[in-house]
This record gives sequence, C-alpha cells and structure tokens, in this order.
Amino acid sequence: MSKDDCERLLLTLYSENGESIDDFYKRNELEIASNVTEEEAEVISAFHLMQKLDKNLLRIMFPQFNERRIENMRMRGLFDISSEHVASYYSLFGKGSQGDWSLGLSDIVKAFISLIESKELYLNERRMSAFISSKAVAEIFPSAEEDKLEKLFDRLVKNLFELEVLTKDKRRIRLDRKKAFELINLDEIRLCSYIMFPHLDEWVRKKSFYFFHLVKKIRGVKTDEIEKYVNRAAVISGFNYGGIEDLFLFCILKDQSGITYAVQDEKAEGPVIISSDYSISFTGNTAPLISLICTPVSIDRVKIYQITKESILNAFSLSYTDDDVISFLQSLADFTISPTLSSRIKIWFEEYSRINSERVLLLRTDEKSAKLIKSIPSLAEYILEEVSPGVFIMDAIAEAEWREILKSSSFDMMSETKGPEFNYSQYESETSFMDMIQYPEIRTEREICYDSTLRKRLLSAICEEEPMIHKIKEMMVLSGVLFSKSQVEKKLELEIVDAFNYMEKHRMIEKALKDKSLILVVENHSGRIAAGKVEMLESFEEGDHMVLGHKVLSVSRLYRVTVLPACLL
Amino acid sequence: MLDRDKPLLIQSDRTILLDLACPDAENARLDIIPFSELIKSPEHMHTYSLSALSLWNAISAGLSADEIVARLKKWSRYDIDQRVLFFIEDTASRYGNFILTEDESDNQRLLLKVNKKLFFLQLSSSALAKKYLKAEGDNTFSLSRLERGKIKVELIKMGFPVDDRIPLNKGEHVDMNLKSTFSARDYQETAVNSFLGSGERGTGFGTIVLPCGSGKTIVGLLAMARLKTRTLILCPNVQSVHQWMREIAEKTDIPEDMVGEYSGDSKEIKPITVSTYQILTYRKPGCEDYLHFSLLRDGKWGFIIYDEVHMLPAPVFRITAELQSIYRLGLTATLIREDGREDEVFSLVGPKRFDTPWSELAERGYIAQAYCHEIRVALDEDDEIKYALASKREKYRIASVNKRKLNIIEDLVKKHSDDSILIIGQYIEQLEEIKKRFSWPIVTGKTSNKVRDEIYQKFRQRKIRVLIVSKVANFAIDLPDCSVAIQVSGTFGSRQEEAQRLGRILRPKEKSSHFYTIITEYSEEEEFAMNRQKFLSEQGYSYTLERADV
Repeated sequence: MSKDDCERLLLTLYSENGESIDDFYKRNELEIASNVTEEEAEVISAFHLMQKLDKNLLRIMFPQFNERRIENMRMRGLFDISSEHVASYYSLFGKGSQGDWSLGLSDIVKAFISLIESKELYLNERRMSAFISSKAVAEIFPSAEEDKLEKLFDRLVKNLFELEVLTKDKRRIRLDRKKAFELINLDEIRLCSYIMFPHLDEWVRKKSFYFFHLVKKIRGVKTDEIEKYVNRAAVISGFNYGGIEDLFLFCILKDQSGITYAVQDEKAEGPVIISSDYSISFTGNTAPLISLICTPVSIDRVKIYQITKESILNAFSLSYTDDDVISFLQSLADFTISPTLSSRIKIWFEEYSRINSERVLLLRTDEKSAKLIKSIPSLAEYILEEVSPGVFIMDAIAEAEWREILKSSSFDMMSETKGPEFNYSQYESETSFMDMIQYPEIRTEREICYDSTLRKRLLSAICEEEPMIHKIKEMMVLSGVLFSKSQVEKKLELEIVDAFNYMEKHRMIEKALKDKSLILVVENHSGRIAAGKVEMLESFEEGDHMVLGHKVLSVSRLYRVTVLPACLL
Repeated sequence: MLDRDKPLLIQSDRTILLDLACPDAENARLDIIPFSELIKSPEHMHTYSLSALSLWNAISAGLSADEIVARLKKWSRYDIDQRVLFFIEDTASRYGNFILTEDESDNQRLLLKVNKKLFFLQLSSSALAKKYLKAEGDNTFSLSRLERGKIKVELIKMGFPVDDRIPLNKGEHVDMNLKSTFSARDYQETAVNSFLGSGERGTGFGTIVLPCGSGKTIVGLLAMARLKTRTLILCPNVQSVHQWMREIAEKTDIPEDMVGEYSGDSKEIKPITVSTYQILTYRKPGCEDYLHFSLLRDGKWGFIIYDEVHMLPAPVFRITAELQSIYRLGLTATLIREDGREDEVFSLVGPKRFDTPWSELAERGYIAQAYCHEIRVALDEDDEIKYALASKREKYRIASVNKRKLNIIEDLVKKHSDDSILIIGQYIEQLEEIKKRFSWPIVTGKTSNKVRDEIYQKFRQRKIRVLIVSKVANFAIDLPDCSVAIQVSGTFGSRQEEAQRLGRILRPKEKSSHFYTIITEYSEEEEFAMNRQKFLSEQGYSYTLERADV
C-alpha cells in the first residue's frame, strides 16, 4: 500500500478541519511516538543519525526488519516524526548506566607524552622499548592491566611515529613538542580518531569522528553483543573501524563483568590542588597544558602530576613565559598557589632565559656589495645585525622574501644557501589537525517511553458492532496506523455489502478496479478477511472472479465486501 | 556514586588522599590512622597508604577487615576500586594463619603453628624452614627463641604475618613516676596509649613518629613511667645521652644513682641505662665481635627505647631480632632511611603506632612556627670558570663552598641580632673558614664530648649567641632557644638531614623560627637542595626564594 493511500485514509477518517498530513502528524506526534515499538525506535534513531532513509543500510543494522516492515513504518509516517520524540542514542547504543570510572585514552595519551618528554634526552629505540615495559611506567597507571598497557604503549608509540609526533634520527628518538601539544589539545573524539588511525584521508577522517562520537554513546550492553552495537556506529557513520579488539585496547570501550561501556572522558569536577611539594592533584579530565608542564605520578581516579624543572622547561620551549605558566596554574587551582612554587618557576625561567639560540643565516659579501645591500630600504627589516663589514646575520625564516629582493636588485646570480635545510613549523598556516564537524544529535534518553500495553488497550477499546469493521480496526491497530484511543473509539461509517446483494458486490468491485486509490476489503463465510487493490475482474464459466492483491477470488463466495481508501494492512 | 563532601579519595594503588577542605577530614583521618600510614602532609591534601604491614598491624591490634572496609566506605568520595577491597580482605585473611607460642616443654624454643595445610607445605619447602625450623607434626614448627625476630621478618617478606602470642616479658620492676610538676601534652599521651594500648596482645612494641622539638623524649618517659621496668635507652650520640639523663632527672622521681651512662666515657649499667649506637656496634679492627653487645643481650631489660630509630645501624637490627620478648619503642621525626630499610624497623622494633602531621602541631603551638628561606647566591667569576670545567661531584663541592656565602651569613647574623643562631654545614674547611672570619665557636666531630657539652651549655645559656656546627649537630641536640639555623651546605640530597636540621629550631618558643639554606644559583647544589626540601614541603613547609645581592 502506498504512503499516499495511508495518508489519505488517515486524513479521511481522522483529520480535523482540512488539515494537511504534516499538521496531522504534528498534532498526533506524541501518540504516534508512543505507539512505536522498541525495535522501531532503534530503526528511527538510526534513520535520524544517517539523515537519510537507506533501506539497505537499515536492513544491515536490523536484519529482523525486512523491506516490508520498513515500508510499513514509512507509510505510518514514522520517519516524519521529529527526532525529538522518538529517536535516542539510548535505543541504539544501550540503556545501561554510564559504568564505573575507567581510565580513558585521553588521560593515557597525555600522561604518556608527558613521560616521553621527561625521558626524551635519553631515548633511543632500545630504551624506549625498556621504558614502555617498565614497572615504573605501569605503576603510574595502577588501574590498568600491565600486559594490556604494554601492548597499548607499543601501538601508541607506533602511531605517534606515524603522526610524526615522534621522530627518529641516528642517535635518538625525538618528540616534536609542538605537534605533541596540538595532539593533546584535541577533543576526545578527534584524539581517538588520530591516535587509532593516524593516516586517513579527509573525508574518511570525518566519518571516523562520527564513528567515535557514536561509539562513545555505548552504555551497558552485553559484551557478547558489543559487536552489533559498534557495527551500528560503523554503518551509520560509514566508517570501517577494523577490529573490535582495538577499541578495548585503546580504552575506548571497557568490559566490566560481562557488560561493556564506552569510557567517557570526564569533565573537570573536583578541586585542583597544587601543593607546596609541587604536586598537582585533581579529578576529571587532564587539562592539556598540565601534561606539558608536569610529569605524571599517578593516573587514576585522582590524577597526580609533579611539577619539575624539566617539565617546566617544555613549556618555556613552546614560548610560554613564567607568568603564563603561573597564571595558568593559578587559573586551575582552587587555592592560591604556594609562593615557593611561583618563585621557583620564575627562577627556572630566568635560568632558561640566560642563554638561547635561534636559527639565522649568515650572508657574506664584499664591501662594495655590502654598501649596496645596506642601501636597499626593503632589506633593512631582514638584516638582524652586521657583525663585520660584509657579514650580515639575516632572518632565516623570511629567506624567500629577502632573496627575492636581492635578486631583483642586482644579485640575480645569488647561490643557494649552504648548510642544513631548516624545517619551520612555527608559522605553518595550516594545522595538521582538522576542525570539528557537525553531526546530527539526538537525545541520549528517549523522551517517550514505549507503552507495550498500548496496543492491548487499543484493541480492547474497539467496540464496533459490525464484525467486519471491528476486524478492520483490529488490523489497523496491529499495523500501528491507529495509535490512540480516540481514533479507535471513533465510529466508522462504512458502506458494507453483504453476500445477498450480488450486484452491489459487483459494483463495489468495479469501483475499486477503476479507482486505484481504493482498496477492497472482503470477508469470506469463515470470517477470514483479505484486503488489497483489485487488479482484475473477469467473468468465467465458473462465475465472476477477481484478482485481489495476488489472490484470485470468486465473487460469489465473498460474504461481505467494503471499499476503503488505501491503508496499511 | 559520588559524594563530594566526603574527604577520602582512594586510588587503585591503595593510596588514600585526604582532602583537608572537607569538614569531616579530621574524623576521617582518625578513622584511617590505625590501618594506614601517613606518607606526606602538605597543606591541602594528605597522602596515606594501605600496605600489607599496616593492615596486619591494625588486625593484630584488634581491627577486622570488615571494620576497615566500613571505615573506608564511610568516608570515601567514590566507589572503592574492587582491587583495593580484595587486597584488604585477602591481606587480612592471611593474618592468624601463623601463630607463635611458647614451647612449654623447652623454654629455649618456640612453636609456630600453621593453620592452613597449603601454607605449611609452602613453608616447609622454603629455605627459611630448612635453616631455622623443625617440623613437629603436620601443622607445627619448632624454632629457637633467638630466631624469633628473624623468622617474623622473613615470614612477613613471604607474605605470612605472624600472630605473636608470646606475652612480652616485663622484666624486673623499677619504681618510677613522673613528677607531679610535670604534665604531658595530649598528643604525647595519645602516642603512648597507641603504643601500649591496654596491655593486650599485639601492643607494647612499635615506633612513634613525631616532629623534632615536639617532645619525643617525654613520650619515652611516659612509657617508662607506665611500664616501670628496667630500661635501656639507645641514642645516636653522647650529647643525646646526656640530654636524656637530664630529662629523666628533671621530670621523673628516679633517683640519680639508678640512672647510668654506658658510653665511651663511662660504663655504668643501672636499672635505667642510657647508651649509644656507636658503643654497641664498636669492635676492634680486625675483630668480628661487637664488644658491647652483651649490654643489649644480657641486661635483662624489660624495655628498650631506640631514640632516632631511623639511624638504627644494621648490626643492631640483628641483635634486635633477638629481643622480641621485651617492650621496645622506636622514636623518630623522620622515618626515611636512605637504605630503604624502614620495613625492617617496623618488623623488628615494631609498627608505626602514632604519627601526626607537622603542620598540625605547629598550628597548635607545640612546635615553633618555622619559616624556611632559600637564599641564592652567584659564584664569583673565578669560581664560575672552575665550576664549568669541573667534574659533576666536584661541581657540587665548589658550589657548596662558595665564598660569597660568608657575606650572606654576615648579613643574616646582623639581621637576627637578638636570636640564637646555629650555622650548619657539611664541609669542615668551609666551617673553619667561617670561624676564622667571624671568630664564632665551632663544634665538629673532632670536638671532644666534654667540650661539646660545655659549648652547648653556653649556647643554651645564651653566653654564646652564634654557634657553628658540622653534621654532628644534625639531630638529637636540644637547643631550646635556638630560633635561627643557617645551612651553608648539606649532604647532597638528604631529606632526612634537612628535616633534622630544621628540627634544631622547632622547640616551641615565643618567637617564630627561621631556617635559611644558602645555595649557589644555577649549580648542582640547586637540584640537591630541591630534593632536600622535598620532605619539608611534604609536611607543608614552603620556602621563600630570595636572591642575594653580593
């Protein structure tokens, strides 16, 4: 039956004052929503998240829903209801509580990078391997299983290399502090995506964000069934996530006694305490700068970090000053930070500032050319210092600009700069990490509880005397077309022809044959009802026969006949 | 479930954080002290730890695992990690499986009964059993009385705590009381009560940790007055011996002839005898025997007090293992051993029975309010070059003996013209240099005990206002009116030393105390200074950092 037929029936029987079908759905939205089964709610939720009605995808996610059922839902207007009333993550991804606190990827990555920073001077491959399997590191994460932690760190290191947060030269492993800081500044969704999948093209990357956004909604599902729920997230987002084991390894999902939860990044909640022994303790999410300027001591329900000289140096090397660091700490702390700590940071900054180096270029030329160079006004800003006649210290970063100026003056034969290539990341115009995308949001909890006894109540409210109409209403309730008591109780005046009026029966069949917007409902003498569009009406030797739907029926054997606008039967 | 008003945050590594901002913090603290150890106490958040030892000691004193869990749940802000709960129950369940009793048929031997067959088998196959234990039946071992302590230590290391049911031998009665003119402070009484309990099994041995200047000696005297038995007091040096003897004379009614000194200078053995670790561990070159061990072994003591128990020398550990049948008390302010043998102190002397944050006593006025200062001074040009070219170890020395420190000392002494001042250092040449420049008296290891006593006495009487001391005065020297200490150099990163030196100025007095540590900026000394300051910062002390203009 077509959606249009259904809508016509509803409007015919139940609409008010010529309202449109949209108005009808709006007016009855709550009741329609409450007449939706749990399974249908899952399908509707998936539809809203996919933002399109892709029956194939829906059938992949919900194999128990064949095409007919999905069509039935569509015709009942269930995909027209606003998501606000029906759709929820709760339907799709589990209804349990959020689960006990669990160590999350975000805190692990921040602490791990912080640990690498503290060890960086001494790290080569062998030491890295020893480091990640050491007891000392495991003790920093007391709630994690040691062997799982080691596997996770192995993968983390590998992926950090792929992200070029870690690089390797002949002698040691280096941490690109700027990239590390950019990484740990990402929100939890993007961090999960980049850490687990370092190399994805742009469009797939966005799908991965959506995937993790959905996976993070998983709550309290049986571990045996977890793949079903993760696959939903994969189908809706269109992202191929590889294997489920990695989601557990990277602490995206957590099994607690046979029930799986998505590990939620905590919001900051409790006080941040910065003590006179230079320790910082707090609950909730680690602010990224903390893992930059401190070394982790314990990453558990309460995170404890320690401020050390080496850790503060990291902040200075990223151009934070002592005042920046102190202000940051004070902004976090619930109590005034110890003057000892502030003074100590200032002293460290002084020590840091005693000596510094920067990349410059040396330009050598003869005296005559030197005079010419000095007379070019546009070059002045690039000359940092003339150390002796004909020897200039030049701004290395703007090399291209002053080269151009020199070439366009009279130095077009100027050679390439000799020496190692500089690799500037400081003024990159694009970050290597992408901006947040918007994806559809639906409620976490379903607003309207599905009333499993509604249908029973509706069925028991049918009080038509005419059996055929009773049966028709019954079928409409069971199909979900009728969803409220007022609809069920409304008297239906239908023209019904019984068996004794053959001509009238024939006339009705002809009417239905001609007008395809009508359906014929017939009842045989044993009470069985069939309904459908009349495809054919022919006279045979054996009498008049019609094709109703796919059935061939003898007109003479029909006990009762009526005509209705199309409906979901 | 989260209850923000609750003060305890219990981590999965069995660390307990106590949030002092919560109104119930003090009540929670009192509840958890019996079964946890105070690790550090900076100003906002104290850290305690649950260990097998702390749990076993609580259980031996009568607390059950259920009660421990109930107390933790009562105050915990979050649900407690299952692993912690499991640890408590598992650890507690181990207690009571090994019971030590006397062998009534042989008073030189003891019986170790093992309740679980599996444990009996495990122990039977261990090297310990082969060496020290003789199986008697299928659940009992027999051992020599002398091995009691050793067996207990080794069994604890194996994870088997021993329920030692052998009553402590009280020893010969000695009548003594505190003088009525003297009254102890509440925390001192509490400390002694924690130590002695009401005489039930599992009490009468242990360690009490109290800040310097808070009256640990008084705690010892209180315990002596309660036990009224032959007592041996072991101290780190002769000055402490004399201090104890003075305190005994001032605060108790014990006649003078019943108190003896056993040291290099004197060999008296009396019902109350005060001695040093050095004399006990003295042996002639080339000789293996400790000549004075018999003092410990054969003195028929009912009670031994180990003053500054963190300094217990290794040989004394061994003999202490034999002295398990008598009351024993360890006293210290800083139970940090650089050799990490705190556990053995707990096993052999006894568990920590009482501990209190330094900051709490300071707030209540029982120790002086102390202000710590770090003064930074640059090297002069010549020394800078020497420093830059020197080896790491030599760098530390060059930085420590920075000539410019003397100018700082001069300024500080002028600034504190009304105060009694101690100048403390590591390097004798540096201290001699200070003496040469300012003509102040000096006490070093070479100074005889007699002269030391005289100098200290004059210092107490304010006949000497400024005194230079080497590390001989790190601990146990009672200089009540000393209110300023200037540390010019220290033993690398020794936290214990820093705390003990601060302790010289913590006796309560009307004015605040100041602790100056002078370091060379941008040098190795800075790093070590920070480590040294760690313990004090963990007690809530902050340092003001100043730069000297010289």
